[in-house]
Amino acid sequence: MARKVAIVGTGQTKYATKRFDLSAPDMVYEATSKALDDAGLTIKDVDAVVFGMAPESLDGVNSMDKWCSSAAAAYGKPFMRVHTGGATGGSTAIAAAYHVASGLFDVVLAVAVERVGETPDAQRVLNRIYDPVITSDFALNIINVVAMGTSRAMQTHGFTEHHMALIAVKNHLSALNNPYAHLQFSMTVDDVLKSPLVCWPLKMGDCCPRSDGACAVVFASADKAKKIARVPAWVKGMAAITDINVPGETGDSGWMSTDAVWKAYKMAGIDNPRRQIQVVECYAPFSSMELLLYEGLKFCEASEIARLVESGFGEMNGEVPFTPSGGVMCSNPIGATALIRVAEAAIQVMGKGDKRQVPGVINALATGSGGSPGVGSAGFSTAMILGKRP
Amino acid sequence: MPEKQELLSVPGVWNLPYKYSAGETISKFLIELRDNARIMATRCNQCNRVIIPPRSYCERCFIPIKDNWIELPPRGTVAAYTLVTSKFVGLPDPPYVIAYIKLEGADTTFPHYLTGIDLSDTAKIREKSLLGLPVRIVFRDRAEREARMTDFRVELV
Repeated sequence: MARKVAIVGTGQTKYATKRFDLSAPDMVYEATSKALDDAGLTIKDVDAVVFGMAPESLDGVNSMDKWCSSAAAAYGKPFMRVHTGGATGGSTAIAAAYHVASGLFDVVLAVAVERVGETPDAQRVLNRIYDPVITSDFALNIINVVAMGTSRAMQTHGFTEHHMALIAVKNHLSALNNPYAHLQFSMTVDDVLKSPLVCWPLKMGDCCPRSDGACAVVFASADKAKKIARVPAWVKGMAAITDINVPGETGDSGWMSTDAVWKAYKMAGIDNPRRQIQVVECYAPFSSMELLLYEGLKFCEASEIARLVESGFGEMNGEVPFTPSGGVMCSNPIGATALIRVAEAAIQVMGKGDKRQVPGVINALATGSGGSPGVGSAGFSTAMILGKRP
Repeated sequence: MPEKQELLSVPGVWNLPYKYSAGETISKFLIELRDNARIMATRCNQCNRVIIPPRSYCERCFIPIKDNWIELPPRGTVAAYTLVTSKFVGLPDPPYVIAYIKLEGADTTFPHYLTGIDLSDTAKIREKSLLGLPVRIVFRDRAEREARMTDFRVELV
């Protein structure tokens, strides 16, 4: 990397279906000012702002980033918007890190927001993210596209709806330790299996909520980071990849598998992720996506997934805790979600995790996943590894 | 004791008409469906992938492929599918099965509804996997074809 970069502060709003009490700029202001406070900085210290949000038809305001820019401490600063669907927050973090790594900026804010609660049915909006001529007759949205990938993966990777339910149960339990989490109720395996079927095999209990929320993360150069934060979260590796990987297509490398993570591992000098990563904040709005990441992030072979889930691999006291925050299944303000993964990973490295702190974290992995894969349009994957050591 | 501030929500609607340009390649594809009941794909001469719905470029080799047309047979398999049991606003009433279909000779898949399934008992559909099952393409009568993806249906054999 051209220049070392670290995260020195984070801020989040409490996620809910609708934050009636906050306008979109208010939400962004809350997250941004909290991040600056966390870092002990003011707007004067900010050199540039990178802003992420996903399709604005979720929020119903065209280019909402412009309306919210002043709330993101961008007044008088250079400003750029990033949008890669669900991976937006991850791409926003990477873009902010690039700004600092380039040597051109010392302190850069990554800010992201989404108000998925502003429209009654997000899937209606997500129906319009595909090739309009070819797909508009077929009612594609995100849930049924994920369901199609899941039904196929159940065959190729040998897991069942029971394994998916175990993941849901784990996330709901973890969310109770996270004051920001949207869904705050525990579920049993039975609760999940008996929840209403949405698109087979996904049931309500396997799905994320519609959430409003914002998140901000402060990136700084090595010199500044050492002065600002007691324990900076160093960016050890980062990567992004554009993929056109639709289930069943020739050369389909596995729906949740991504070369982005290998690049990030290589940059971070990680060749045994299962040993060298102590916590994973992954982008998985549906239970099946999380367990597929055990293989996708190279923690095990496909055939081992079911067994690892049964053994509690990703639980708080498991071998490698996955989403101690409760994850995307419990809070999903789409454009912000992958940045929240970065913030939560940073929190783990910085030791600020409180009730959700995983002990002994040296390296934390945050992933992002999004886009509209299918019919030639792209899916995006991002990965960022944060570590205690510079 | 201070009164809790009343919070307002102001309604709004986007009602925006569009005409999406299909482009030369997709226009030819759709017109072949309508006029000749033929399914046409494009092939990349460099990586040899056959792409349907056809594209004017190969995204991996990054070369133009818009003149390399190839006809595909009306046969394929179910590459992935789901049974939709929920009503989404603006989308059809459930239940329906939506699938990615891989035609014989194609390297890519396309979405379509899957027909030839008894939808009256959704519990039954969950019992047996439809993955990999053969499908046939059945074209509508010429008078009903409109140069749309719905000019044919996909039926389980």
